[in-house]
Amino acid sequence: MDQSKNISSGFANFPIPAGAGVGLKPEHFQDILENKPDIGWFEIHAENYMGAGGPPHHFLSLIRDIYPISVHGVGLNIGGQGPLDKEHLARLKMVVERYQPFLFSEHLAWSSHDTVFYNDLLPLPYNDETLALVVTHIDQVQDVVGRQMLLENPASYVAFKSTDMAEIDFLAEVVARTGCGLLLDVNNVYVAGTNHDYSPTDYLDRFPLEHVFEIHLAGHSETIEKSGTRVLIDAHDRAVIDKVWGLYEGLVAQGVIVPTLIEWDNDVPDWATLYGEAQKVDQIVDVNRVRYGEHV
Amino acid sequence: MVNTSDIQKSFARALLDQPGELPDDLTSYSQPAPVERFNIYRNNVHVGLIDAICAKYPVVLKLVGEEFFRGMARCYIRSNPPASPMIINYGHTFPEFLKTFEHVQDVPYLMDVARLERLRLEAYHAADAISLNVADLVLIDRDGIGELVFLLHPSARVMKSGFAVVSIWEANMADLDMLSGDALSRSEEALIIRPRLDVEILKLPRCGSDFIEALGSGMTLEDANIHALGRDREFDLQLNLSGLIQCGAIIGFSS
Repeated sequence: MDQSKNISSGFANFPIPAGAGVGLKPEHFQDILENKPDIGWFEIHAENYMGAGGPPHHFLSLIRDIYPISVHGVGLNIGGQGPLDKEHLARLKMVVERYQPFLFSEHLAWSSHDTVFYNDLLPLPYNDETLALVVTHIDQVQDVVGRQMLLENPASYVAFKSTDMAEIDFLAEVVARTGCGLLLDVNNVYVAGTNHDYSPTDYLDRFPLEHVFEIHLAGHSETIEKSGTRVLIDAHDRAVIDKVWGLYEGLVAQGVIVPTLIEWDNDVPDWATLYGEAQKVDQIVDVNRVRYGEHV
Repeated sequence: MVNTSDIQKSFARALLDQPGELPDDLTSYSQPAPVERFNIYRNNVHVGLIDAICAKYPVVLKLVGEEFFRGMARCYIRSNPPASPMIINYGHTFPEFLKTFEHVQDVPYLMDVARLERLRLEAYHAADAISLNVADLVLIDRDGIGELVFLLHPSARVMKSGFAVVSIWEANMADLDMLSGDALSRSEEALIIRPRLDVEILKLPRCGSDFIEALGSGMTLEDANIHALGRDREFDLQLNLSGLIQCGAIIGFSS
């Protein structure tokens, strides 16, 4: 594996691998360990590695010996109105300490209310009240975990009447107040743009790219409302569509060369198919490196 | 303006309640009352949790059929939604739910199969430990052995059933014919353990589970033996102890 492709970053202790990574799935543990594919890194969902022991930790430890790991939380409830679950935050800290990820990210969403965890990334309005609570929560997360967190832009299906701030302004303000970074999910941009009738390209033109330390790419499904309007669903169950690849190429061409993940969480394909998707990322990055005259 | 607390409360309630309710404050460019869009979240929550229960109870699913199981899981998630983001532990009350779920009362062994599957899942995620092997144990002084307290593997779980719960589980996992008649209602006891990577489900001798529970509670070997003999006068200490050692259930001892 070529580890010499490291790009410079603000994470001195955690060198960031350039190019593609994929979401780590138990279905691929054996393939990865037997064949040690040439791939930059793997991303894990923190919550899947919060048990005391067993196969998940066994295989992840072996893979961590070979590849850099990034930790992606799906249960912190950053956008939740109530206080963060301190026990859960402590578990997250344990995962981060144990696996020393080069990046650690969570979502601009909520997933718990009162005593119930809904196991989904739920949307929130953008206004001063939600900004204040997201900032408080991210401050707390970064204090406890002791690391910069990356915040991911959401895919969403509904809008709120009480929103009075653009998503990009909201994200930029969160970054300014907390010092967190951003995880730019390009598929989410495409999905949300379609669902809320704005141009993904315009959105990306305004995105604070200098704070983006990771990109996600994924596939989505589609449904049609009774009104005949297309609504896209962030399903992570298929290949990335060409339009999303096109948006990604545009970003890379602008010099946004950051670790890029293929997320494929449902109807997980065989390793070769997933690896093929990751190779497309590396091809796009390599082509642009040549264009920039860099040594590849 | 509606505050965030009220919005999330109303959104959360509509996720698990009867369909058709639209939470406060929602809108969309195409539909001012976006019920269909909200239902995408509702569906994600339901399908995600039902899938999680399906994955954890594969033999129960097989016994009742997938369609019926999903309907049952839908009832379960509404009355027992997750209380923590630790979805790897979600569904641990499903066996007790089955005990009272009226539509499965004609399948009396179903709850015990579910208990077995729950223990299998617990063992899967339990802490790791290195088992003692026979060579470690031959060094023990025979005279003092009765006074020793054995430390069990953290993944070790036991259960007793009035049904042939291990045989039912094995037959379904191996796609063999389902048991019937007397074979079905023969009592069985199980040890569920993950000595290394794979969870093993072992049929125990009679009152083997009482013996293991006694050891697990910190009793000396002799006291555990007396306890097991109290349950079954035929209890065979040597058979049970050597079985435990062979399957990796002992990780240490102290005097």
